[in-house]
Amino acid sequence: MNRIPQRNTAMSPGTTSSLDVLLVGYENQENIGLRSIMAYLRKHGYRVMIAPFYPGHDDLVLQPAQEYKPRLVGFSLIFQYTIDDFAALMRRLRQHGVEAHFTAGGHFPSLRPHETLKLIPELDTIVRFEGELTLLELLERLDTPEQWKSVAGLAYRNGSEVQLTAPRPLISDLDSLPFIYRDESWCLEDNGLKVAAMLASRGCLYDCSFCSIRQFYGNAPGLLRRVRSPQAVVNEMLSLFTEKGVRFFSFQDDDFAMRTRDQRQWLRSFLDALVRAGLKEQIRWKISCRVDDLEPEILERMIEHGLIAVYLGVESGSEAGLRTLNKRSTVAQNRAAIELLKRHNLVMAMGFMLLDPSSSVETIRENINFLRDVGEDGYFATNFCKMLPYAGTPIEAELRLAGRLKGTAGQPYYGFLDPNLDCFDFLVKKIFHRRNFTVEGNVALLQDASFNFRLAASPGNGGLTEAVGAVLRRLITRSNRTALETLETLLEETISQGSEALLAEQETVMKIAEREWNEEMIIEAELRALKTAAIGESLCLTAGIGIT
Amino acid sequence: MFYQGLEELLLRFHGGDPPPFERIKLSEEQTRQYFAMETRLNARMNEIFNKAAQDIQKVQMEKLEGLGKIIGIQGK
Repeated sequence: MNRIPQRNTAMSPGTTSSLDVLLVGYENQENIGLRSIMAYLRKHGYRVMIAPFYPGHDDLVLQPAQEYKPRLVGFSLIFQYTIDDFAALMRRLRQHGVEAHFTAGGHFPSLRPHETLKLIPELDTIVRFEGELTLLELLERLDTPEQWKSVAGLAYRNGSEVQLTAPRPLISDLDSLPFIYRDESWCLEDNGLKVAAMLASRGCLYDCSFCSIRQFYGNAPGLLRRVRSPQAVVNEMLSLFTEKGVRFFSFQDDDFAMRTRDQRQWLRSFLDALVRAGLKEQIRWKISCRVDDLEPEILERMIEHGLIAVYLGVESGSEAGLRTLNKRSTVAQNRAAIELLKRHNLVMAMGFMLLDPSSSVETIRENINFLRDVGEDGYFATNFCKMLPYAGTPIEAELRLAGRLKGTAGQPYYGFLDPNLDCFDFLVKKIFHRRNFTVEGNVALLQDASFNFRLAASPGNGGLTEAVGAVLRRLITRSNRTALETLETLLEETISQGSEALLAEQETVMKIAEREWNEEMIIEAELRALKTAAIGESLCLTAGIGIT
Repeated sequence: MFYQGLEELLLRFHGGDPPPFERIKLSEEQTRQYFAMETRLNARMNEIFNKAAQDIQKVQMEKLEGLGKIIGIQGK
């Protein structure tokens, strides 16, 4: 689900001509981190506003920065690949006379403060790791630099050096934080279904080599993973249900963990609290988890209480790939988890990295075979990507050590040990970008349709005929099958011809690409026809809620 | 693991390839070949999907007729 808002800035009530803080970040979903900071600062009496930022839409930030003249502007740099966009935004703000104190938080600035301050000279400070307490103290002392330089959890320039202040411990009691700030701009409403993002925990106990979540929380003093109390989470849900009409809750936890005894006890308490609040029959919700979190009995109980969608961190269909990614899971576990979700008719999507730094022809074949096995029945639209080498992760360090990390801080990349795979990677990106990564691509359209079909079919809703589901599954099967045939043909041609010959003659690639794109176009047209025929405008199949 | 997925989604806003175009240890000739291939693929993709936008209505209407017969029109 993508939306670029026109002017949906979130603002504290009572904000008029002046502002203490302007927070800037992506908000295609509610930016839970920014909105938690906003709620915390408001609780302490500060006037705060959030301005959504998307590349090419600088005015969404520039306009409120000029109009309300905040004392501090905080940038949420949670996505490394957008640093250059944020740097350009900050330059533009300064050029237009915005004199506020600029600070930034998020994964990359927290883990690479020296690099960030060098890369973005407009920044005054960096708030490292969790932002609520540090930003509050920074604000309280903002007028006297000698005082704010002693605030824990900061990085700032000291002449030509970068100074790190004492580390700020993580917040031990998440219930001590206020509910995240929500106003009229926050709520995604699609054909009558109101959706809210939720967070029950922060952090993850695992150490996947590609993920920066452990590095983010593990580099600050405190527990790797902290949970809110079940009752606090349900209280927030109930408040959103009664006051805002929210019916769908999308949990954004790094890992909605259910493996240990304590985690399962938490879950039981959560489900009981949903019943006590009268929400059991009234809401639907979605989680993201590991494949080894899922267990039939607990899953069934969650479904009884409204769980309808799961985003699975599958990541690879190759044992070698899973070892490289340090997933601590097996291909058999991946298959079992997917089968379990299918048996329970849950909406599913998965993270899957077709390519990682250790990729070989053999592991790519294994991944293609895995995707074929799990996607042939048309249950869900299979997508795939290349692993990104995030700053601070073990795999980034390995690539750097091996001399394989290329590019810039904001756009790092790596090549493969087999040079033919660089060509394969290039061609996969060119051919599948639209299908896998755009809102009009087959994956997004089919996922949205699949989600809305199952939502409509869930208890309490009017439901759609099985015939609609059957047509939809056939479309998904076709999309998956075509994509995998394309991948397979590309791989085999790259190997047999060699990348140089393949690029020199061009015609083979053109034929493969044309076949893929023509089929995607037909599937898109047929899906639109299906929606129109089966649903009309009144049901939410066309809503495009999106669960990834 | 969710983080990778999110970033991929947000890269949609960039309108280009998810990660950068990678040309590693390439000779001048290889670089020229990559550019030539990319240019041709881009042109053909635009051609197909622009045509698709025009054709889609036609295909949709044809399919709509067929599908309507198969599944019936459903209400709430």
